[in-house]
Amino acid sequence: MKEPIGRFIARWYSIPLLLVVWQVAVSSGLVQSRLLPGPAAVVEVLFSQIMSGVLVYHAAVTLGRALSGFALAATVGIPFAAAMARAPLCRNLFEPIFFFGYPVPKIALFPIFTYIFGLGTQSKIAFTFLECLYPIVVSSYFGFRGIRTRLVWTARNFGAGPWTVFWRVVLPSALPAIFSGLRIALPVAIIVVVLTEMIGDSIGLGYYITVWSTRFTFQNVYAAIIVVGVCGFSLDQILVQIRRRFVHEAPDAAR
Amino acid sequence: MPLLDIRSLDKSFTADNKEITVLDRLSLSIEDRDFVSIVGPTGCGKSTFLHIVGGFESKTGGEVRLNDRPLDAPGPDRGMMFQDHSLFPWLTALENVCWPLEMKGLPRAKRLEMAREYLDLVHLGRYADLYPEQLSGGMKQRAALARLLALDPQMFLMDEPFGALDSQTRELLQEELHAIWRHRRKTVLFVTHDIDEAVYLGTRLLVFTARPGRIKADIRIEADERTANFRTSPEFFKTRTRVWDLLREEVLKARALEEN
Ligand SMILES: Nc1ncnc2c1ncn2[C@@H]1O[C@H](COP(=O)(O)OP(=O)(O)OP(=O)(O)O)[C@@H](O)[C@H]1O
Ligand SMILES: [Mg+2]
Repeated sequence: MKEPIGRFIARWYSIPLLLVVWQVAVSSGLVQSRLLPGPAAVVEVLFSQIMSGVLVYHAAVTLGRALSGFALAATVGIPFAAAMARAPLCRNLFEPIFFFGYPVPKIALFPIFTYIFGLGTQSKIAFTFLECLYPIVVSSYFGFRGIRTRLVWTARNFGAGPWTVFWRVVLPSALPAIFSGLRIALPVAIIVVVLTEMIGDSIGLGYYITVWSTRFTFQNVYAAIIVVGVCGFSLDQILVQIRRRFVHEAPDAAR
Repeated sequence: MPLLDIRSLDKSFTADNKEITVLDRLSLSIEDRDFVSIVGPTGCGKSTFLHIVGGFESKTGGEVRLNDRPLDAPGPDRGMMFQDHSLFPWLTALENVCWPLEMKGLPRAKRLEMAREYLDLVHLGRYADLYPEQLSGGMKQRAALARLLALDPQMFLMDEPFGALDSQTRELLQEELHAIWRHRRKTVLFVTHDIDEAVYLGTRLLVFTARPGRIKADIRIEADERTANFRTSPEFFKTRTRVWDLLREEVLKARALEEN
């Protein structure tokens, strides 16, 4: 019983430590700025804004958009990566486009998205989809390419048809890489939605942050940032749990 | 009519824009219930040969017929045990052995029971629930052997199946394989680097040449039942020495090939 608690403390103590340092710096007068209110003030705002439902509403908007774009990218990206890895025609057609487009800052295209999809939810989901598609496709693609031929041969030796081979050899082999792609894409989804909401919107956490920044009320800004962080962290943990359920990991590397 | 009939089989690979011929006009007939040991220098195409017979790798030229039908796809009539054992890393030893039984349509309880029996046969019963990466090299080979026995093919294609075993376990499993071959009337193609093993098990012993692989010698070993006595018989030693001399030449050639 004592052991897990000790490990929990060892793992997470840096966060309360940061809060303490922050509080001390602010209340001792070391840092005096409207740009940095103390954590106590931020937490107070955080609670009142959550209780009143304001932050909950904006967070729900942001999360809804992020998850829609992310889910769409996964639904399209994973089969697409499989096709690219298995079919030479598809590979030759799309591989260069993907590898060239990967490092391009796609945010530069956002204005075009707003012309097509408007300033609301649609353009955000479409843009999140695009941003998430890259890490998911690229990582899954390497997963689908790195399949050990002998394992496929073994399954065919047992009499397995293409469909069985796909579900029972190809997919399990590629799953670790697919999940790394998803884990990269998930925070990207949240960042991108917040960012595009900051550019122009009337709802969502990005909008909330922009509004309170222009009003110079930074307690609210930090409160919203904490909400973004907590959402991102929780979603990542959920993804880790899902992965643990579906992906076999080497027992000694499982932690 | 031979079970497996191979006529001037060619195989070449293209790697880095260079074509290398691995098998060169190889012809061979294998009868039902032959136990064919195959020895040859490293890189001469033994694995490639088994992969072609298994239907996994395509041939470049020639003809391969099984039961008088052209062979071009894998099937459960020929069971392959790969050199790298090829266990599925995301399945336990038991689940690995269960899969071929599942493909045969056996009910779950029955296949678990049978899989355990096969694991017991290779002395791996206690490790049934471990994953391949938790097993030692020798244990992996034994799990792969249990899986091959579960598939129960007519023809066994075995690529250095006992290479990672200690000599005691190796001898025990050699005897086990010999008994299975004898009593269940199987045909076996057995690649090995161990000449003693090749002579002890084989009714026929093929010596491959250095790359491109051809058959340098095709030796019949008559002794019917293989017991501990056979290992110390004059015939055993005579064959062993003969194979050694043949192989030695080819190993030297293969080495020269590598140095150029
Ligand atoms: N997929 C491939 N692509 C290109 N070259 C290959 C391929 N597979 C095998 N080779 C080449 O074919 C030759 C024969 O390989 P093979 O694995 O059949 O040898 P082997 O006789 O089994 O050797 P060993 O005793 O070391 O296992 C080698 O030179 C190898 O480099
Ligand atoms: Mg080999």
